Amino acid sequence: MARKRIMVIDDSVSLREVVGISLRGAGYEVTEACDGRDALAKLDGSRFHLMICDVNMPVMDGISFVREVKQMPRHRFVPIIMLTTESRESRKGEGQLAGAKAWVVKPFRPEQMLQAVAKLILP
Amino acid sequence: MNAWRRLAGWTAPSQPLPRTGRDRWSLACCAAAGLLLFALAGATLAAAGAAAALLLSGLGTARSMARQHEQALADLQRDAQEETARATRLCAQAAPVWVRQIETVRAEGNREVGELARAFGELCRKLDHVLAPGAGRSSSEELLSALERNGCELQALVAALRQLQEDKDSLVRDVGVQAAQLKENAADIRQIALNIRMVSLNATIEAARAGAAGKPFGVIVADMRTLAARTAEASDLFSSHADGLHRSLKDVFTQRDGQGSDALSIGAADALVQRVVASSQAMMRQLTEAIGAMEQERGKVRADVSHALVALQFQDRVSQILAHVSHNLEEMQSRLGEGRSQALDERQWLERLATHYSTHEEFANHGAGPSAAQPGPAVTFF
Repeated sequence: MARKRIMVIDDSVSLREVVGISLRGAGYEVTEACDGRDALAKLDGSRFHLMICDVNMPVMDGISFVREVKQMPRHRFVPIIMLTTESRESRKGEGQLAGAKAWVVKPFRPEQMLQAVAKLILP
Repeated sequence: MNAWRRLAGWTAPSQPLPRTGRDRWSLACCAAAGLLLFALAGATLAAAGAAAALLLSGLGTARSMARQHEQALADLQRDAQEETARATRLCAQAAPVWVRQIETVRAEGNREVGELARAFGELCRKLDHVLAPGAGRSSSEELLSALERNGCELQALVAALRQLQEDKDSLVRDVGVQAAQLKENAADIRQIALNIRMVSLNATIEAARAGAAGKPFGVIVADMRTLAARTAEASDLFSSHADGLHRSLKDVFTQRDGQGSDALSIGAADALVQRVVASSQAMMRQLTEAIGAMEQERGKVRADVSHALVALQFQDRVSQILAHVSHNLEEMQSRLGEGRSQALDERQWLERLATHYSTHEEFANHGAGPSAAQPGPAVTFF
């Protein structure tokens, strides 16, 4: 059975690695991107079952990336989890309005992330 | 008068006031002395003149004192402006240095912690491989099973060799029995030949008695004697060949098997196989027990890994906080460079700082309310 694919978008190398360790350990295939624009380039021609995206990033921030993805017919239904240090309700509201499915606050425990992924990932 | 009012409350520790107290005292003394003389001398002209002179002197002193104070105030204002300008220049020059230092710390921290996270990730992958549920146990069980299979095959081989040895011994024994039987048969034939010879002897005697009539019969008797002799020779030869065959077969097996030590060798090989198999099984049992203990530790190792993964996320928060400080310093430098430091309002500035915050630590350090300073729920689903 093919492994499910997840894209992790974060400008922090260490965070991408931490998320990658958690997901790969659970059997997922992980693709990494360092900002929203890099992620959009990597979406081209690929199909993902879920995306995990930071909010504050250079070049293209996470909220803008989610808005872009929701305009793409091929990827608009892929669930997106926002992963950020932000925990203000106003910011969460922006994420929800853009089309994100969940908001995970850093630092996260790997079990929490895996539970959220298992709940949202496409079949 | 405005300058006087300002001067009355002015204190500048770094600049001593120029005789302010003494001048006030002098002015008061002059005025008091004039009034006293005027009162004592009554209406005398001299006293009035003295009093007027004293009053004029006091007014002159007061004017001089006012000029001195205005000059001191101007000096102090100039000094203060110079201090402010110096401080502004210092901040404008120091801010970019601070920004560069902070960015260096951020970059190095991100790079090194990134490398650390990569190395930790590789370690985790190897750990996952080693600690995969049942991985070690299944491989050790497979090994144990293969070892047992090999042991059984070796024991079957030893049993086959032993059977072969027994078959060979049986064959030699059978050949010996057959050879003995052949020798008995040869002895019987020899006995028959002997009997024929006796019969031929008797026939010769009888033929001699018969005279001329028995002469042809004597030829037959001679042939019978020859036949008996050749039968005896064939019997001896047959017996000798049977002995030779048995001996040769026995010699062949005895020489090839090392003077009959093959049975011992097979026994030793069997014992060796059993020892090796037993030793390997013992080692495999120890290995299986060790793997079992490792599997019990697996949960603890996973918890430690999870804890380390949480701790590794510190760099992201540190980097964000430093980025915000760096951004604020750059903004301050920009304002100072534009000469708008006068327009800086502390409260507005602090409010602007707070708009960039993202971590609850930043809100806490800023002195925000408990709701902003507390981390929110870890996961929120929309």
